[in-house]
Amino acid sequence: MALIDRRHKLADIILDNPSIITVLNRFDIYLGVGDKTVEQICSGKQLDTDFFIIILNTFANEEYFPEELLKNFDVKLIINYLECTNDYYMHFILPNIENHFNLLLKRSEGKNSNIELLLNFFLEVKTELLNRIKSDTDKLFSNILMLDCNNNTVERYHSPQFKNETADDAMEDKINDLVNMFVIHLTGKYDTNLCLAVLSAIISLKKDLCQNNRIRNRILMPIYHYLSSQQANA
Amino acid sequence: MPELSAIILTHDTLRAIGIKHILDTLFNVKASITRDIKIIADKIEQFEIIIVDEYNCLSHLDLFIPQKNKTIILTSTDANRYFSWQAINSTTDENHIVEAISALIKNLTRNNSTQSGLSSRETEVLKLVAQGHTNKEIADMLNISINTVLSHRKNISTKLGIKSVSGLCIYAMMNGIIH
Repeated sequence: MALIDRRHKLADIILDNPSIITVLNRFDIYLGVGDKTVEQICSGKQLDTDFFIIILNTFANEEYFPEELLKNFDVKLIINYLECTNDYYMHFILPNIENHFNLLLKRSEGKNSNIELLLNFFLEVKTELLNRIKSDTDKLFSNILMLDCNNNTVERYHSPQFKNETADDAMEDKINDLVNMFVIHLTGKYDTNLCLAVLSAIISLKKDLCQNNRIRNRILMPIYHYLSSQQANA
Repeated sequence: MPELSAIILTHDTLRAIGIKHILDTLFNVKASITRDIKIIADKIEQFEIIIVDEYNCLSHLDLFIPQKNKTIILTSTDANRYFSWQAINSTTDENHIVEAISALIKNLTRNNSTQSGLSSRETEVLKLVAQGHTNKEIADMLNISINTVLSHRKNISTKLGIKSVSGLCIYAMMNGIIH
């Protein structure tokens, strides 16, 4: 797929990649975008156009992930984006899945024990994700912002790859397992429409979390470790 | 169709990108590209398909001979010169390359195909995993090596499409393997 650039009309981009609609909200952009280009929209909203384009491209193209370019953006921009993403998880997609799941369970009237087991599995994933969000909000993000304020070097973010993805890999594995359990192993009677709604929302979360983890683990965490080592050496 | 994983080892990056694109778009094979033999040497068992240029293959025959069944050699000359090895001539036209890859993948997946259900031994291992036992405990309980336990676990995950212990536990409950 061709990369998005500043001259493209946002409406065309959305029509080609409907899944980016959820990303637009994180930049305070909502549907009804008219025929404005990316550059015009960013200018109107006072957004960093380059950052916005890179985020759209990484979301629309799984293969595309320009690590060095991303590391050179202001760390506040990256953290702000991740905070908006976490808000979306906490206040929209997780409650949405849970509500639909509960309704699906209610409609099965106790006749399908699989649904209850899958709901419990989802709640385990949800708890893990919320714990990580809390830890990031309470500690990680504020620590990085504080370290960034104290850092005066220009070559700030040419940091080495930092590998600490085990917990996130496990979370992604669990979401993937949940999807596969619906698709491959679900048996018994259930409300087809509700089941489809739950599954679609979980698949959407899976994709979003995968993108979010790439930015968190491959961009933000190396920056954090670089800044920490700079402070330790100062 | 289940997604296969492949590694492409060559110094010719453009050629690697071309093969990767064909594998991804036409055959649902997720391929990684590397120029460094050291990157794949330790985890060569993990890949279901290995695509390697003739220089790298011939330079590291000791590594590739045990993986011969899943290795495809990229050559710029006649693919038949590699006799019993699977090879693709990347200088022929697009249709021939796609046809050659298609035939090779069909061959590989036939060799690697497994039955969809779990064997009785795998079900036993799954039950113990779901009950929370460690690999070492399972090995001791079943009188098998830890490597055999790991191999069973890998097969279970591949057959069920479930990797996490929590997921396996839920599957075991859904299917009455544990209560």
